[in-house]
Amino acid sequence: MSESKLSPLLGSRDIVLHLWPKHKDLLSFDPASVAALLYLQLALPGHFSVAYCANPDLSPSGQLPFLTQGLYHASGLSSIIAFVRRHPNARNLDAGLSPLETAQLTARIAHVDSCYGDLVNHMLYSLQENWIDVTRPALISMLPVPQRYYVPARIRESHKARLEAVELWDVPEVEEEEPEEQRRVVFGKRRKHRPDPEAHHFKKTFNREQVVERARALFDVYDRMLGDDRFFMGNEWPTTLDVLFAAHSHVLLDLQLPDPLVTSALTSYPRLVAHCRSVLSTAFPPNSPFPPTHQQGWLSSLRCLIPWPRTPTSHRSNHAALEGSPEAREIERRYKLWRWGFIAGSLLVSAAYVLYAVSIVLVKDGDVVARIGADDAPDDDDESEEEEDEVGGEGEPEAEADADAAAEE
Amino acid sequence: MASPFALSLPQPLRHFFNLFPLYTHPVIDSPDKARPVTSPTLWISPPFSPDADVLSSDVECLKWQAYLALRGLSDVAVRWDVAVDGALDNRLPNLHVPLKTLPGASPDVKQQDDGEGELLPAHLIPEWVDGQVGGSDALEGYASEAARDESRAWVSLLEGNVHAALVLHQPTSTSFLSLLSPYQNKPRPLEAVVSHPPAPLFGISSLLPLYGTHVNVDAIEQQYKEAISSLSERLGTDKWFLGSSSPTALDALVFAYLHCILHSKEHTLRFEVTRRVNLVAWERRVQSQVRGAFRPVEVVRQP
Repeated sequence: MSESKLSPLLGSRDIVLHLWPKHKDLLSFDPASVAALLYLQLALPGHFSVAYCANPDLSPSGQLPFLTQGLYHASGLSSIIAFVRRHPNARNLDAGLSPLETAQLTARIAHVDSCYGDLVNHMLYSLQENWIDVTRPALISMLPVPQRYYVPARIRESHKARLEAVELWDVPEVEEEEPEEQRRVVFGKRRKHRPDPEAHHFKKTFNREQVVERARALFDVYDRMLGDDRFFMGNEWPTTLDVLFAAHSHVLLDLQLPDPLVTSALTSYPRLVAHCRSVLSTAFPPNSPFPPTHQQGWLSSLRCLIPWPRTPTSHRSNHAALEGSPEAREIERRYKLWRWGFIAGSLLVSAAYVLYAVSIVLVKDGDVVARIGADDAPDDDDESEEEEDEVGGEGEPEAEADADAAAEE
Repeated sequence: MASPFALSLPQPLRHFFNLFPLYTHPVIDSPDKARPVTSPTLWISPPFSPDADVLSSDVECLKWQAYLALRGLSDVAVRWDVAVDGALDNRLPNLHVPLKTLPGASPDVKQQDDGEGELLPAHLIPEWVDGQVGGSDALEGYASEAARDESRAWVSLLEGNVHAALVLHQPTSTSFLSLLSPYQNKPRPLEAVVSHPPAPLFGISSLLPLYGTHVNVDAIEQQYKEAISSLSERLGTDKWFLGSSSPTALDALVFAYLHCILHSKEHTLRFEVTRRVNLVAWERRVQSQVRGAFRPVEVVRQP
């Protein structure tokens, strides 16, 4: 949850939702981000703004999407939904459901989140063609220069544990770049064709048919549940389950993937495709304005290179969220005033000290040329005589003069 | 060798080889002898209190134990002296069955049974049980198709949210010996259970290689609480989950999770379940039924 326990009166009142950036037709690159956006748009239209940021490290829990309101923050889709439910102006999407139906809804949301989420991640991150042609270029375009070279591979690696556990991971360990005919000639001898290292590794064989079967089983369940209604549960307004399901469908349908394994299964269920479109059109009616967006600069991109352990509860919200508000600008102005005032004041005091308490004598060629500061300063121990050398070549004759003076003595 | 064209060893070479005679070592008697398997034996990880209980402490093993018991099998032996590395795919539970109970075996194979039996991994257990007590219908024991679809949702709720909370609060052994010993029952890591990959400990863009996970503990606990409250709401006062007339696989799964939660050392987990009286009462009732189907195998040590 990572929610701040401070009062909401501190800081600005604007809700800012931070998401993965848009990519071509998609509202956001990640299904959870799309779901958060749709949920907020349905529950709190016009009360929030969107910030696209491609840096998950800005979030308190390290994951996007996250939401800030002044000094509050909520990270992760379930926390965002819980936060919005408690907001006084929010429309309750699950109103009108009996307690039994609400309990069933919780289970179905978990089902969609895990099963459908796994299938979408499989399409984006595991299938090699999709990764090379669509996902990796998209991530590279969103990230700035130092991060774009290593962060996409890390993101892909982070999905490996889960997808391997559900047997949806099929990434070749060895890059198959060399075709078998070309063998490098090393010292005149043909390099031996090494046998496949996977042959002795008891890996479960990956079967594309199994993936399609799994997708069809999931879609069958939800197709039966939808029936001929516009939304699940037969309501007039989308529920949380509709939002989550449509978010995943939107990512699959509107992202042109070269290997449409699951998408082709989805398009064979026209009612589910229509459901996705109707949820999107309910959330964003044709003439309604999109919530105000601001693109975040990568001010801290170099700072992110430094490994910084995370504190478990950090009440500090994102810096950019505070910048916009008039109260924050007022505070900033006062700080600036005080800062520059202090510097100016200290310079003034040191100048006054130099002028009135200290006399500086300029010596050139052994003669006193000028005297700055207190003229009638007595030769007391208060006085500190400083010799200032002229810039340039005067140093040497003076040194010689001193040396002569010393030699004469 | 008997062919007239075979080459024979020349005499000097034979004398030389006679200096190195072949010596056959006597048979070594090992103290561990495999006893012939006469009744189906389930290999599980050890129970919470090995002297007093036969129910395993691991959720996976307990799930299959409950499945066997609730499908109507009885007098199944259990043993917990097999280490995890000795199991198929390094995952317990395994079911060791005599050959004559295998549904797909031919009669010749069944006759040649010398007590070795067949070791089945966990995913083949339902097929075996179907062979024993008769196959289940297309609805898998649920009241209707809608109930069966709903059961998929409950399964993923339990295996996702509730399992994540259990894995998070599992006590990690910190003794020096456990660091040295290579055989440890490694629990399923958290990254495989949570649906969104957790962030690495120092951030994804740091210069250090990825290490550790920054787990969103509050989110997991909040999802767990919602899961338990919706579970309790759905059970209501029914005898079996989703209003089925007879126990199903979902009941076995729910029982396994509830039993492990109630025996866990973590106070917050246990409290959520003990607050719900109907869940506690249900678990107690099913526990006695499950326990009655198993008997522990006496481990006999050969002198």
